[in-house]
Amino acid sequence: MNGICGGYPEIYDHNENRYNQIKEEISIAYLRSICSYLGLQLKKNDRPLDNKGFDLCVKSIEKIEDENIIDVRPLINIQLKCTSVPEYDIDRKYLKFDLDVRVFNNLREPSTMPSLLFVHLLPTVVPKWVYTGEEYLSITEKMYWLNPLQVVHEIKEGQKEIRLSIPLENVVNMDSISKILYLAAKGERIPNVL
Amino acid sequence: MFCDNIPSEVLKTIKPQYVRMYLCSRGWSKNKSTLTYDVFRNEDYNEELVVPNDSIYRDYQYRLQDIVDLLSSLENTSPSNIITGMMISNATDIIEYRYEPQNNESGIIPISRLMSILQTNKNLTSIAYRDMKEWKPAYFSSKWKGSNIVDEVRVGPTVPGSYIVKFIYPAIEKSKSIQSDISGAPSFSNEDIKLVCNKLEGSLRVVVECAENSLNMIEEDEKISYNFVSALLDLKFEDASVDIRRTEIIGKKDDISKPISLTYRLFDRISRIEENMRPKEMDVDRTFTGYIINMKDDRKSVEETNPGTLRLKFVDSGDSKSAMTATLSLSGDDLDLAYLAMSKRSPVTMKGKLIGNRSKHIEEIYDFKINE
Repeated sequence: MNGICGGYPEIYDHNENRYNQIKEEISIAYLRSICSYLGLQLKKNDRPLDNKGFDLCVKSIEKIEDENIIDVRPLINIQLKCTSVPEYDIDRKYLKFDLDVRVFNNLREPSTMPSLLFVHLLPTVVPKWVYTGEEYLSITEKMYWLNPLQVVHEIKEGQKEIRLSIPLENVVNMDSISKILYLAAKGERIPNVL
Repeated sequence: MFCDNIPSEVLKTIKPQYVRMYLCSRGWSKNKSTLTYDVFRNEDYNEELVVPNDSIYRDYQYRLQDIVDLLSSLENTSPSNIITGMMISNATDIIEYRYEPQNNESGIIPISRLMSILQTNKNLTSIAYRDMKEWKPAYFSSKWKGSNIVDEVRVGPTVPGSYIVKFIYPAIEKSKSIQSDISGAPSFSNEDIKLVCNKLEGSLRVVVECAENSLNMIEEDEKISYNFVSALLDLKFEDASVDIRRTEIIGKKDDISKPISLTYRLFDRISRIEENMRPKEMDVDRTFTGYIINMKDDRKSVEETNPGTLRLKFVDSGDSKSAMTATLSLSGDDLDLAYLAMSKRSPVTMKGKLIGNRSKHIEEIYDFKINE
């Protein structure tokens, strides 16, 4: 091994397809570190043949004891995406993310538990994706979440992608994951502004 | 621990109703509901489970996987057993026969052995029911009014690669729909089937215990007929043992019942019990004339002294005068003669004792000859 991303002989452009698997694993690692800290279980689902399954599932291992709770071990279904070419609106309040219409529709199909889209941003500089310092290890940059069911949309015939606006305040972190799971435990919908 | 090895296609086929019935039969009750799922609670385990109320949901298979995973750890059994239980959750009991070959065969049961297991369980179930309803030391005819109880029994799904044949005893009679009590839990109508399983398991344990203790008789108080012991002999395989295990789906005991182990050696002792229980009317020598229709000769593949297993089709010389078949064992020159007779399709004659109820054997054979 030479310490270069993917063990390749050189560093390629951040959009190279050969990095897709690595990007996915780095995104999972990002989320896993949050889940591990919160004592949650992160499960990577097998992808079924129809390709309509969710990538991941975050589940509470410990029971939530509260009189308002319906499901004592709540969970959320997650479709994970990654990009290193983020676009923002003019006011820089929203991340603009183009999602395949088929995936968007899948996420809006009826499900027992909330189904959310998580988007992980990675720098365009490949060596910055994972940093190992003397005192800490970090995965850059941020991960954002969106509940597609709460998105008002209009899809035209033949449209292949939908441009979603993800509020930049919807950062995936300890606080947001805890709040989302608590709402799920109460059987409530997840609004796009917590 | 997640049960990742269960294909999603299998999980999708388990309907929510089956899951609810399975849970209700295991002491879980509906606690809370949302628009998309019900929460079931079990006080004994102090656990709760989320059950989707419809299989249309996109995450249905994942929720099923969670349910199977949790039940598997709570009930200390394999995920495949939980799934089997759900798919047949309208059953009171499962009786499984685990075929254990002593040679190097793996993952397969020869058809003839499978047929024996199927037939034997049918016989044992019918006779156990008869012993329960109208016990006599022996029955001379297999015809009786309760014999159709075996029509309810089903062969359950078998895990590929295993040696297990599962018999499912349904809790709901074919013509009846599922009823619910006030709390919404399903109520079951086939009480006799459960009692039959109790009797079947109890009788098997008594026979095996007597054999293990080298007893040659079974106490009359046990109400086990000669026919039951005789039918059990059909599970005697010279190169394989059979373990029988009963699992109660409804009214589950706290402990998982131990399997009843039938090894080849044990059958010698069960045969002695059978001999001692055999009614005098059956213990007479008879002459059999018929055709060998099937034979298994292991002398070349296994051992020179191994007896061959044959099936004879003959006309009953008794009152019925009907055609019937019986198995018999021959070795040495007699086995050579039998092979010759079968290949030439020549009739044969022999003397011996006709043993058994529905599955008949000819024993203590002598004067075997080909009729030219």
